[in-house]
Amino acid sequence: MSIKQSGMTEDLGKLFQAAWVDLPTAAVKRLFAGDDNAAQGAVSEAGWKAYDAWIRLANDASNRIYANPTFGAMTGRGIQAGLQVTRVVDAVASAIFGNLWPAIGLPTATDVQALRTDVKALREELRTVRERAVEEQSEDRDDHAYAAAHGADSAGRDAAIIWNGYKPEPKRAARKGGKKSVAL
Amino acid sequence: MSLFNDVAGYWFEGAVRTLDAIGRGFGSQVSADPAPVTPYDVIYEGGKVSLRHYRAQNRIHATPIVLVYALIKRPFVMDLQPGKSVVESLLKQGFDVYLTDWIPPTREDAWRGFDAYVNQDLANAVRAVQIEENVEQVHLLGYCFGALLSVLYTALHPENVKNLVTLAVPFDMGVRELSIYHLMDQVDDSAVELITKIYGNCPAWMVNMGFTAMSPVHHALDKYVGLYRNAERDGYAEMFDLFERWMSSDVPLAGQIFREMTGDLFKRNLLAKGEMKIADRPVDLRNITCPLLNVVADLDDVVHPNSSLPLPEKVGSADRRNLTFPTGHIGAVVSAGAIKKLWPQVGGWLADRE
Repeated sequence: MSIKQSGMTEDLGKLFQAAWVDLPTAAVKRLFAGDDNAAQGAVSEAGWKAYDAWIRLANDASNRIYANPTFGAMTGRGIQAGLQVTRVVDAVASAIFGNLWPAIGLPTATDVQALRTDVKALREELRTVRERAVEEQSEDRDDHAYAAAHGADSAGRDAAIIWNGYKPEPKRAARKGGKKSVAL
Repeated sequence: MSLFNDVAGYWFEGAVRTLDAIGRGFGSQVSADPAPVTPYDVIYEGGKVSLRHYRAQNRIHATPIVLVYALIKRPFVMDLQPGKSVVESLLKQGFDVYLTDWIPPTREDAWRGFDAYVNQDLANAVRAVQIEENVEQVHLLGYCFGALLSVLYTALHPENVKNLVTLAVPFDMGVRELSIYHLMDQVDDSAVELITKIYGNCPAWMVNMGFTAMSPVHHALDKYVGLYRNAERDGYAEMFDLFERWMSSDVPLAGQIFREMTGDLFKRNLLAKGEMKIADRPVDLRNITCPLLNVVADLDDVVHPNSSLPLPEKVGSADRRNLTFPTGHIGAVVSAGAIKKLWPQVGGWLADRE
């Protein structure tokens, strides 16, 4: 503690010297030196020296505050109280929004989230259907292109793709005593 | 007048940056990382770890380095800028480097403690490297919390580690040289329980608040004044932006490991006392028999040097030493001085024990 004390005294001394001796001296010199760059630099240097000493003191002060048992105890209690309040607020919010909120017909975050998930799933489904439709269309286009390229060879296939009004007749029932079909 | 205008401008930008970080949950979104400086492949992903592989162009050493990063901020600080990158330095020295990129835990991961991170995720990552490289052992290099995980892993799985390097390891948690620790002492077990009950994990904003509270004057004013004073220096503003981005990249700490860290380590100091257990298995530091290099940053204001220095005394290695370097906690991985002088020493130490 005594080392820290002496450190603080030293910093105070430096701040005092920089702010009340070096800085005014440099300012007076500059006043008489006119536009002399060196004099201007000296003022700036003295100013930063004072600033650095002040920062060291401020750091030292914050360290002392942290190490202070009373401040520590107060902070500890403050954190504990803050957390308890947060917990109570969470519990109250959960009670209100979990039970009372839906009772007046308003959606909860969970409901909104569930809706979002549904919309997302529907979007996915729509995208898949759309992609499938595009694929089918492109297959049709390919088939047409193939048909155009291969002419008569693909006439049969064309017929299979585009319905031309042909309806096959219903299959007749096998006659009794007739040939039985053979599975190959 | 320019001083006040400029500093006010920087301060305003900083405030917006912090609010923006709060808005996106700090580092919880991995996509918010800056573009990587050194190219890598992800060779394994499982549990809460994604393992990056950085390949050396002129590989000299057969044993790869597994760089174990901390759980509480994003790892891009290890590869921040060309010329200010630990990864780049090690690659240039001929090592292949694997880096653990810890995936931020969600509320469902609140059960994850040291057992999950050390015996599952880190063990799987090391196993993945063994398979990828076809080697039996790796060099393990841990930074800060990552160094702690590395020590625990090496004590529990010593057969897989050829050499262990720890950087700024929070080992002896009984040390109270930093005043913020006195304040943390006041946060008792019931507060920790409340935090995990409310949030599941220790939220990223709380981790960030802890870091900010370590040097409030610096974060509130001095860093912006520093930017003003160094604005003319080549690359300073760019580095400042990247660094600030990293400072606000905190990720949540899984509930169970937060409880173990604050209770077992910070308050009861069980690791240094030799009484720590992970999944009912004692962590015996005398099981660490591989060479150990314990790198300590002399000006560390996050993990006090006195907290790191006793580690070598506790391990079973015959070849063990402390290496102190005049830098701060983060300076050890980003400062030009560390990249120029410290990391070649670390690489040399590993190469000598290849």
